Amino acid sequence: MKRAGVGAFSFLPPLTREEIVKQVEYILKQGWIPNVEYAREEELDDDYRSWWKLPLFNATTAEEIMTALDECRQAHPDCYIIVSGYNPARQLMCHEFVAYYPQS
Amino acid sequence: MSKQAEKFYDAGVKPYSEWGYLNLDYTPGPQDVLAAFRITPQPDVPWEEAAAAVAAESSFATWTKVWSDYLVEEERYKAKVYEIKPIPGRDDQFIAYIAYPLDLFEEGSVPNLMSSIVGNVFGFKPLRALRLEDLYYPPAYLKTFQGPPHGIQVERDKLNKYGRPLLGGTMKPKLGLSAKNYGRLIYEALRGGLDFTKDDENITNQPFMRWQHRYEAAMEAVLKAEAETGERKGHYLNVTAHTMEEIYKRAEFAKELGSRIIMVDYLIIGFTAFTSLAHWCRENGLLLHAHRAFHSVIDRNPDHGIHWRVLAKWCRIVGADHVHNGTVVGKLEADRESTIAINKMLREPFVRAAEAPGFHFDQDWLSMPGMFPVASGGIHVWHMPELVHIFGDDVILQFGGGTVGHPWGSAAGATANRVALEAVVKARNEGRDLLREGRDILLEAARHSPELRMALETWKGITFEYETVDKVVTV
Repeated sequence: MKRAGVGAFSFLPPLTREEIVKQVEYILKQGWIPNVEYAREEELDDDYRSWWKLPLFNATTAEEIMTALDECRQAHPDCYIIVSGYNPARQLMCHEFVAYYPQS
Repeated sequence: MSKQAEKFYDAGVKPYSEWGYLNLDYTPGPQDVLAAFRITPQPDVPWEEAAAAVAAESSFATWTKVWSDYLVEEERYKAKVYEIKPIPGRDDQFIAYIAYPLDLFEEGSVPNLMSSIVGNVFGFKPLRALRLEDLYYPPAYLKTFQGPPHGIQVERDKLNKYGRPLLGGTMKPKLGLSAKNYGRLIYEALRGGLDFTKDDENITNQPFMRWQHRYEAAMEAVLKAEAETGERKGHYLNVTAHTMEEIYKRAEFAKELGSRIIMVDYLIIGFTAFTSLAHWCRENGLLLHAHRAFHSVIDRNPDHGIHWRVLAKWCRIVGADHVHNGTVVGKLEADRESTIAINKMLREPFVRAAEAPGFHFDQDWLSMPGMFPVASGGIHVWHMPELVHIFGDDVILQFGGGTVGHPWGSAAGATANRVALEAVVKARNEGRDLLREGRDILLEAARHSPELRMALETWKGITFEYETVDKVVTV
C-alpha cells in the first residue's frame, strides 16, 4: 500500500481502532486541542486541508473525537482522515497522524 | 614642592580589588550582563584579586591608573565581581560572578561582546587558566538580537511535519564523490524515509566536486524524492566559504534552486559572518543549520576556554534554526546532564538554572524562537528509544553511518530508522516506558519491516562508552 506521506506514523501499518484511541487520549492528556481533517490523495501534503467542523475545542473524551472521526469518514470515504493535536501554549501543532486511509 | 616630585592624580598601580572591581555587596541590576568564570589563579594570587583582575581587564581598566580615567563616569563601565564560590573538590580554582553594565556593549553584536568578555583577559598572566562557564543576557540587551531566523514552530510549518523528531543523515564518504554520485546518495536516503540529508562540514568547493554542480545534483535528488514520497524534504547545502561574498553567492544559488535549507560551520566563519548569514536566511525564507566544527578546540579543556553552553547560547541569540548538541549515547564527547540542559536552553522560552545542570543563571528568552538541537555522531537504530526518551520530539536525529551503513544500502537504512523512530514515538504516546521496553518496541516494529530487522541485526551490541573528560560541576 502507498504510504500516506504525512503524519507521525506514515511508515507504520495503519492503526487499529484501539491504537487510534490511545493516540487521541495522548492528545487530550497533553491538554492539546484535537482536530479532525480530511484530504484527498493529492491534497494530502497541502498546508491547508479541510476541517471536519472546527478544532474540537470542547472535547474532553476520546469517544467524542472517535464519533467525529466516524462521521467524517462516513461523509468522505475516498479521503484520508487525519487527527492532529494543537498546543495553544506553544502555538504549535504537536501531533498529527493518519487515522484512516481511503476505503477504496 | 617642585613640579617633578608632585603627583597631579593618584597615578601608579593598585590592586584591582581596591579599584572598585570587587564589590561582594553589589546586587546586579536588572539590565546587567552577568558572567560566571571558572578562574584558576597563579598560586600566589589571592582569589579576590584574581577575580577583580578578570572584571577589570574584561571591562574598563588598563594595568595602571591613567589621568584620562577622570574624564569618564567609571561606574557606568566598570564590571564588578559580586560573588565568589568555591568548587567542591578543587582548592586551586573557583567560580567568580561578574556583572557588566549594559553601556559596555554594542547592540546586537556578539563580536563586540566577545572582544570584551573573552578578549585579552584570557591571556592575563596572573591567571593560570580562565574559563567562561555561563553568560546571562538581560532583556534590554537580548531584544537587540534577532535569534533563530525561523525557529521550531516555523520550521515545522514549513516542513508540514509534526509530532515526532525529524530524521537526518550526513552523506558518506565525506569527500571524493562526484556531484552525480553524491546526489544519488541523497536521493536514496531521502526516498527511503529521511527528512533531511546533510553536507559534511568540510565539503565546500573542492576539485572533486565544485559547489554549483553539487547544489544542482542535490536539489535534483531532493525534488525527485519529494515527488515520489509526497513528503517535504531538504538537503543542508553547506555554504561555508572563505569570503562573505562567496557565502552569499552560494546561498543565493541554493535559494534559486528551491532549497529549503542551507548550512554553515558557524564557529569557523566567525560571528560576524554568522550574523550576516542569519539575517540573510530570515529575509530569504531559508532555514539555517549550524554545524559546530571547531567547538572542541574552544570548549573541551575543563579549566580554560569557553564552555559549549556559552557557544550554544551565542548560536541561539545570533540565529540558527538547528545546532549540533551531542547525542549522549553516540561517539562524541559530552556530559549527559550538561547536554540535556543545553537542549533545554536551545528550545525553551525560559530556562531555570536550578533545572539545567551547568547553567549558573536563569535565562528568559522573551519572544525569541527556540531552535532544534541536532543529535549526530555514532548513533544507530538501537539507540532510538533512549534518544526519544532524552530529547523528546523537538530534535533532529542524524544517522549518517547508521543510514548509509545498512547492508542493503541507504534507502533501506533510512527506512529502518524511520520505522524505528515512528514505532518508538507511538509507543511513548501510548504510555510505554521507552527505557525499559525499548528493545521489545523495536523488535515488534521489525516484524513488519525487514529493513529494520536487518539494521537491528547489523548494529547489535555497538556502544560507545568512555568516561567524559569535561564533567558538569555543581557549585
